[in-house]
Amino acid sequence: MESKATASGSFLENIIGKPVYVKLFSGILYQGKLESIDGFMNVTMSQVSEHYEAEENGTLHKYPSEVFLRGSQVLYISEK
Amino acid sequence: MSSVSEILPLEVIDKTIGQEVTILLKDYREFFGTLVGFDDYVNVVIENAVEYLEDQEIKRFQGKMLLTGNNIAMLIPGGKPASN
Amino acid sequence: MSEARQSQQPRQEQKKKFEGPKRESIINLAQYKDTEVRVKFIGGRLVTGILKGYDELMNLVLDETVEYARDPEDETIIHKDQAKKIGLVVIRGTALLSLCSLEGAEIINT
Repeated sequence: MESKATASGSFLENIIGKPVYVKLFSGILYQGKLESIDGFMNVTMSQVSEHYEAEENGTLHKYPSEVFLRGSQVLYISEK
Repeated sequence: MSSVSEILPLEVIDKTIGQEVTILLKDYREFFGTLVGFDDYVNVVIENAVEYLEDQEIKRFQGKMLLTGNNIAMLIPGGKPASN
Repeated sequence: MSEARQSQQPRQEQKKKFEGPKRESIINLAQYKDTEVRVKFIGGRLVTGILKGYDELMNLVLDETVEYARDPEDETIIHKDQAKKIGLVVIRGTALLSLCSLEGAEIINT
């Protein structure tokens, strides 16, 4: 029961279902629709395309099914 | 009776909310944007971020971004975009 | 003002519970306040600055901060001429590798 919504908590609530960028610490960038996220920053996304650092570098992979990204590896989650 | 005015790091971050900030990560990566907020783990929410890798701009963002706290090394209030 | 000098206590004391509140840091940063310190980070960044504030998690506030660029090939080489002034910064204790005082320190040219 949180009496104070944290900036990160509000951000995550508002971003579910939206198109996002998620970058992992390795530099791999994922673009897609945010399906869900938990307290450990584990993320599931759909309609995902994978790039190295930026989209301009070309698409490495497109995933037809849902993708799971490990929270400990997440560098950032950003709105599109 | 110590009335030493201690400058607390988290207070400095709090005062930066609304201002521009540069966030330096542990590696050669930097983010410049407007600080929206942060939490107990110093995960940070910034707006209209610019991402720099090794002092070169690689991406500009619109809207908000959540930067996970476990990679953050330094926060510079007022921001100093990496420029040579 | 409790000090934990466990290494100087006789070995018979080992049965005793480790003394000291868990929250207390083993270093008292107040002694460095307003002095120049050098901070190394996990990941290799190096800065110097004047310690203005701190908390129990070793987050720091440094003023007149200068960042030194690392040589990308050999991390032990610091380019003094490439120092960048970055002013007032907050340093995350979780990223801190080492901290030392620069009071009275001299640079030896090797």
